[in-house]
Formats: sequence, structure tokens, C-alpha cells
Amino acid sequence: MDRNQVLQKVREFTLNELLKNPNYDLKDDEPLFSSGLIDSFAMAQVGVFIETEFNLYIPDPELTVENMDTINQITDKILAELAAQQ
Amino acid sequence: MLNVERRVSLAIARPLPPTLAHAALLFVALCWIGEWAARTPMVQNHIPYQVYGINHPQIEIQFNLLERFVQEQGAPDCLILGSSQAFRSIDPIAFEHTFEAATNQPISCYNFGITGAQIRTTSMVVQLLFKEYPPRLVVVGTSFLDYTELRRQDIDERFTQNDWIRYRLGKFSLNGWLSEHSYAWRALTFLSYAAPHGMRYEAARREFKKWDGEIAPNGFATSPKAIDPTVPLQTAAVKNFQRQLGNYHLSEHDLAALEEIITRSQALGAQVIVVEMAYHQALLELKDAHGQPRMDKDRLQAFIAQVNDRLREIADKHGIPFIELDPTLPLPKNGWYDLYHLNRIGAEPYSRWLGERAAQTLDPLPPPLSGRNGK
Amino acid sequence: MSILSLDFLQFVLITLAIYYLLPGRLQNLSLLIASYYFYYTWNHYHPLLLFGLTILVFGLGHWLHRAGRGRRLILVLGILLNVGLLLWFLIGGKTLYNTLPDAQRFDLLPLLILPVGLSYYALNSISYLIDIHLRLIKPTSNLIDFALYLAWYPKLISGPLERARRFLPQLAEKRRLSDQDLASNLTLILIGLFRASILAGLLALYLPSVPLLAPSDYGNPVLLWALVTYAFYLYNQFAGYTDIVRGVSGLFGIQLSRNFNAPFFSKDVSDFWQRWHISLSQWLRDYIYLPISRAFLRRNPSRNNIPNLIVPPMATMLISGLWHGANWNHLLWGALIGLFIVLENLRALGRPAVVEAAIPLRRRISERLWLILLMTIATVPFVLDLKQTLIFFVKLIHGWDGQMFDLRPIWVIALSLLVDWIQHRHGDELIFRTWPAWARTVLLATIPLAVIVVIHLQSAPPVFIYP
Repeated sequence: MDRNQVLQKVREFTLNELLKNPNYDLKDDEPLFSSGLIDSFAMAQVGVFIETEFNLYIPDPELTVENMDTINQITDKILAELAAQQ
Repeated sequence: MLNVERRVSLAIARPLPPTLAHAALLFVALCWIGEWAARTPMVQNHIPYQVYGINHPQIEIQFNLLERFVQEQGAPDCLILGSSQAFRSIDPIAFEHTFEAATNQPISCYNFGITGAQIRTTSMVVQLLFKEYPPRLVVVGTSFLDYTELRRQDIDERFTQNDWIRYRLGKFSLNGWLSEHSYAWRALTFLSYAAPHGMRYEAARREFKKWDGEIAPNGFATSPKAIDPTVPLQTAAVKNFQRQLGNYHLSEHDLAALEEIITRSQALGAQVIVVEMAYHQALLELKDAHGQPRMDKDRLQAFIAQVNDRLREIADKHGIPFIELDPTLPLPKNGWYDLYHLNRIGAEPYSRWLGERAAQTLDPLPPPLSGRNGK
Repeated sequence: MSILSLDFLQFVLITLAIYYLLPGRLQNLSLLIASYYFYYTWNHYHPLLLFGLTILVFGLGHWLHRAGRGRRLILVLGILLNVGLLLWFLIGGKTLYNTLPDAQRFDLLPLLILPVGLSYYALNSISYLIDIHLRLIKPTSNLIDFALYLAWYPKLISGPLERARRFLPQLAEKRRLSDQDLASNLTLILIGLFRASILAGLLALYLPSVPLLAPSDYGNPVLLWALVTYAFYLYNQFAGYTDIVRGVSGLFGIQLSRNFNAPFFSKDVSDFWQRWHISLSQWLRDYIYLPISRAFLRRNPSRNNIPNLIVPPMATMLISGLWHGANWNHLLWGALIGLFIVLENLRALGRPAVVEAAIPLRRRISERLWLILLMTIATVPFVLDLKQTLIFFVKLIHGWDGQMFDLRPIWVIALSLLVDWIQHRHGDELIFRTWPAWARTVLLATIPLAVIVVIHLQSAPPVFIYP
């Protein structure tokens, strides 16, 4: 899976499930949690999304705002974990 | 992952930027400005007394008055020590007059009785007073109330823990040094007395203002307040008195403190007398509103006799007079502040009598010491 | 040995000097000895407890790492060990203390009263074991380092809570203290002194807690104001304390986590929890909230999963309440905060997401005032026992007596908010370091002077009253 595909999936999930607003003009490096756009309690949703979509378990202490504040960062985290698995 | 093997010592480079030096200078300048400001009348007018962190208004006022006394008349020849019984019942002027008339030795006396104190407290303050103002005559006013087993108040720590007193006795601390030398620090100390009142300065001032007109320049209590000894005491006061007496055991701790005062006085070459302070006969019974006695009179009298025996013993041991209360001494009806304190009306005849007795029993006083702090 | 004392200053200077003089291999050992000595000054027996726990958790960590099957069981064992200890002191010890006769109570005291710092090092032990279980870290092979992770004296008594992942590598690495680091850590200590000694000290001087001791004697404006004042007192006390210990630790080249981030500028209750006692909130989030929430979401990943909006925050806050003190009032406190978060979650369901900056100023201000009111109300059971809390709430509803409250502390509160605002606006708690030289000089001179003055103002005994 290349980076663009992953990013696309993350973007769709963010718009539809987290923001509940598919028309929102979301930039790839727009802060989601630190800006207050999404409550950081929603980080659990991100974790479960990555579990189901990519079959990857990201431990709870890794689901931090510093690690995963933008869709770019979330994508990179997923790619890094996928690479580590292989 | 963790690498625990490699270790390198901490390294530090040039640590002191000039800001620190400038700040130190500014710090000193601010302290100086504060001290200067505290000495101006504008600030001093708001501070009723110089205080030292004891927060016992009567005693801190006494320190102020004693200093003024020394400035005006020189150090006193005679220090009157004890609790509030001594403070309220020994009138220095009446005592001086009769003593001088009988012995032809003019003396000046200062009354340093401490309200709420036990003889143990007094023995602590004595160290300080003797160091600054060594007397030729020490009058220790005491009574059985000083030697009850359960009379404990939070007063001793105020003296033992006080940095200023410790500083005056030779133990250096910054707080003690500042209390002695800095007006600004003492002004802050007075402000700190407002802290238990939620920083209401007036409340702290009021505690001191209560004593306005209550203490003469020679330290003596001037209150003319008089009670009717036949009126029963309130239950709380009776209970408090009963609690103090406990099981009528003697407090050896306090007897030792009396001896300490005597030894310290004699080490200075001063003459010492121990005097039994006056109490009203009603105290022995404490009759309630129904005329029923609330005290075991026999037991209390036995206790008093036991205390006096011990005091006599101690006096003999040190070769000093112990002047016991003379039950035939006529004291005016309106001369009682309460059942164990005279007011200034009662203190007058009592102190005259005491002056005569002192003159009869004492050897001639030693000559005034050189190198006194008095002017 | 209290952190705000000359003894502590002396202790820090001595341990620093020894630390500098020793060769690298002995440095951590010296810190460990210093930490145990420090703990010994609080209680003579509790260092033994800490040492025993350290050995057990160290061993469990290695066992857990090597075990194939049964890893879960070892983890549960390790968690139970720590939780059991905490519960013993929080509930068992306390109950026994209240039932034993005086003499026995005194003999057994070290086994009955909650050891200072246990609440913190037990959580550190738990997170260490869970992180090994999650394979986030490998157990350290160095017992001295691990013992220091639990015992490091600046954080031993009241945190901040540290993760082994962040803490242990610092002990193994080359520690350098540059000019910049020295200045930063001294600035932190200075900010801490300003908060804990000056702001909290001044607020304490106004006796904000007096009306709280007898809520039935006061009307509601006085009570509400007393709570607000007291909340600011608690905040500055704790935040200042943390800043001081972070600065002290930093002088040894060991960074500790930030614990407070302008909580009174939060937008809602959940935001508040990410800005108040941050190291605890994050611990609870990582090891309580997220596991529970993920379990719910695995069944139904929708944002509208209602049980997920209710159970995880309630459970987390109830556990937080229990951790703060196993009393009904602390549980009520946790339940209230949990409830507020649940309500916020439910309210957010119907709202589209917007960035903070897009919200109109008026709404932002009203939301913050509302938040302060909510948090103030939640603070009641944190400070008072259950009975007094109920009296307080009854008073809040109909206790208007027209009595005016003591407005004097307002300038201290304003000053506290000003410091928060400056730090918050620049997103840098050490922003003061970039101020011009003259301003830094003034701060460096006036803060220590003010600390001395405020401490002196608090030093007087109450007035002697002749009975």
C-alpha cells in the first residue's frame, strides 16, 4: 500500500467519522486535536480505525496528540508500523 | 531501546550571565530602600511597637517599655520577675519607697512579670534580661499556681523557638539578626501578626491597643479594675482551675526553674528574694451560686503548704529569704483584680509591706555593676 | 523535608555538588542514595517499602519480558501488587487506624498511614509493567537506574508521574547542562517559587478556606468566592511545586514532565483535564480511558456509540477520585467531573466540528465562565467531606444572605491569570527568558525578595491570649 492510498483512507475516515462533515476543507498538515477541532478522546476511534482498516495495533500510550495530530502524522505512523511488521 | 551501559559525566559551561550580578545589586538596593522607608515617620506611625515575632503583646510591649526605661533612667537596679501575679501585684514605686526609707539605699525597679507565664517561662526570659541589664536585686514573685502539675500553655515555645531571643543569647540566625537590626523587618513582623486574622491589620493592632494605658513606664500593671470576691466564678473558669491542679502533684520541673533563676541571679552577684504572691481566701473554696464550694479546701491548703515548704527549703539552700504571705496583712476590699491578682489599689499596700520585709531580711545590695548597658 | 524549606535548598546544593564531583559511573548511585535519604527524612520505615516494591517490580518486569504464555497473568499479578498496596493504605489501613486502640495504633502507624509518594510510585510501577507487556520498552538491566526511576527525589513525593520510556534513557545518556539549560531550569524554579511561595502564600494569608470549614455559617456568594480563591490557591501551590521540582531535577540534567498548562484558559471540562495535573491525566488516559473506550469501539466503531461516550469517562474519573482519596466525597468529585464530560460528549454529538479560533469571542468567554463555575462546583467534594458538601450545595441553591465576600484576594488571582495568559499566549512556559535584560533583572531581584517577605509574613504564631 503506498502512502497516497493510506493518506486517502485516513482522510476519508477523518472527514466522515471524526468530523462528520465530508465537505470540510481539511489540509494534510492541519492540526486536528491540538487545535480543538476534534476532542482528544476521539483518539480511541483512530486506534480502532487503524486496527480494523490496517490490521495494526497501536498501543494506547502511542496514541498521543504529539504523534498523531495531523492526517500526515497519522499516515506516517501507520506506514512506520507497517514497515516494522515486515 | 534502552542503552544503560554508556555513561558520561555531566558537563557544565560558563554559568553566570551578567543579569545575575545586576539582579544581586538591585536586590541589595531594594533592601536598602525598604529599610530607609521603614524608618520614616510615615511608616513608623503605623506601627505601635517594635515586635520580635513572639506575638505575646504584653511581653513585647514590656521589651519596648524597658528599653525606654533604660534610655531615660539607666538600667534598673531591681528586676521584678514572675507571672501576671507579679505583674499586677508588685508596684515598683511603692516597693522602692519603703525599701529606700528602711535601708537608705535608693533603687529603681522594673516589673517584668509575664502574663500567662509559668516560672519556667520566666527562667528563659531571665537569661536575656540578665545578659542585657544585670540587676543588683531580683524579686521573684511566685505562688502555688506556678507549681501545679497540669498548667501548660503554649507560651514556652514562643520563647524557646524565637530567633530574636536566641540571637540575643548568642545563637546567630538571619531572622534574629534582622529582628534586632532592621526596622523594615520588624515592620513586616508586625504585619505578620495580621496573618492569623486573614491579613486584617487593624485586628493585629487591636491586640496591642488593648494594653494602652494598662502598663506603666516601669512595667507595672495599672489597671484599677476590681471584682467582688463574693460573686461566684463562671463554671468554665472553675473547671480550668481544677484542671490545672490535676491530682495535686508538685511540678518538679517548675521548682527546678525557680532554682535556675536564683542561681543565675546569684552568679551575677545580685541579691534575691522569693515572695509568695497574694490570693483571695475565696479562691480556696470557689463557692458557686448556691453557696456550695467547688474546691476541696483542705486538699488545696495542704498543697499550698507543701509548695511553701519546698520554696522555703530552696530559699534556705541558696541562703536567700522566702517571704510568705502574711494573712493578717490588711488589703483593701476593692484591691482585687480577680481572685489571685491584686489591682493597683491592692498592690500599693502589698508592695509597701513587701519593701519593708525585703529591707529587714536582705543584706546590703552590692554596688552598681560597671559596664552596664544603662546610660 | 518539605520542598519549600531551607533544608531542602541545602540538600539540593549538597547533592548537586556530590553529583558534579563523582565520576559518571557513580553519579546515578549517588542520586539513588540521596533519594532514599530524602525519603527517610519523611518516614523511617517507608524506604523499606519502596525498596521491596522496587525489587519485586524489577523482577516482574524481566519475567514478563521473557515469558511466552502467561504474560497476561504476570502483568495482572504486577498490577494487583501495586493496586493492592494502594488499596490497603487507602481503605484497609485507614479503617484499622480508626478501630485500633491508641497504643497499638501508634506502634503500627507505618503500616496504617498512606506512605507519602506511594500513590505516585505505584502508578509508575504499573505503567512500567504495562509498557513492557505492550512491548513498548524492554526492562532495564540496571537495578540502580530502575530504583532511581521510582525514587528520584524531586518527583518522589508529589510527582510528576514519569514514563520509563522517557525517564530511563535520560539516566543512561550523556547528561549535559549548558548555559541555556541552567538558565531554563533556574527560570522554572523561579516561576515555581513565584507561584507556590508568593501567589499561593498570599492567597493563604487571606484565609480563603475559613468559610469552607463551616459552610452552614455563610451565604452563597461568600462560599462560592471562597471556593474560587481556594481553587487558585491549590492550583498555584501544586503548579509552583511541580515547576520547582522540575527545575531542580533539570539541574541534574534529568527532565521531568510538565503538569499544568493554563487550566483556567481551557474551553471545556475535558480540555481542563488535559491542562490540570497533566501527568496524571495522561496516565489515566493511556491506561484506563483508552483501553476501555477501544473495547467499546471495537463492537461499534461509530462516533455515536452512546455507551462509549458514557462508560469510559465515568470509569476514568471514578478511579481518579479513588486515587485522590478513598472517601465518598472524592468519589463524588470524580463522578461529577465524569458526568460533566459525559454531558459534553453528548452535547458534541449534534454539533459540527469547528476550530477553536472560529468560535465567536462572546461564546468563548461565556464558555470559560461556565467552565469555571462547573469546576468550582466540582471542587466542593474535593475539599469538603460528604456531609459538608451537601450542606454546601443546599446553601448554594438557597443561601443568599446579601453578605459581601472578601474581595481583597482578587489582585492575586488576577496576577495568577496574567502569568498563565503570558505563558499560554506564547505557547512557552519559559517565555520570560526572552524578555529584555532589564526586565529579567527586575524579576530575578524582586521574586526572591518577595518570597522572603511572604514567608516571613506567614511565620508568626497566633496571638497569645491569656486564658
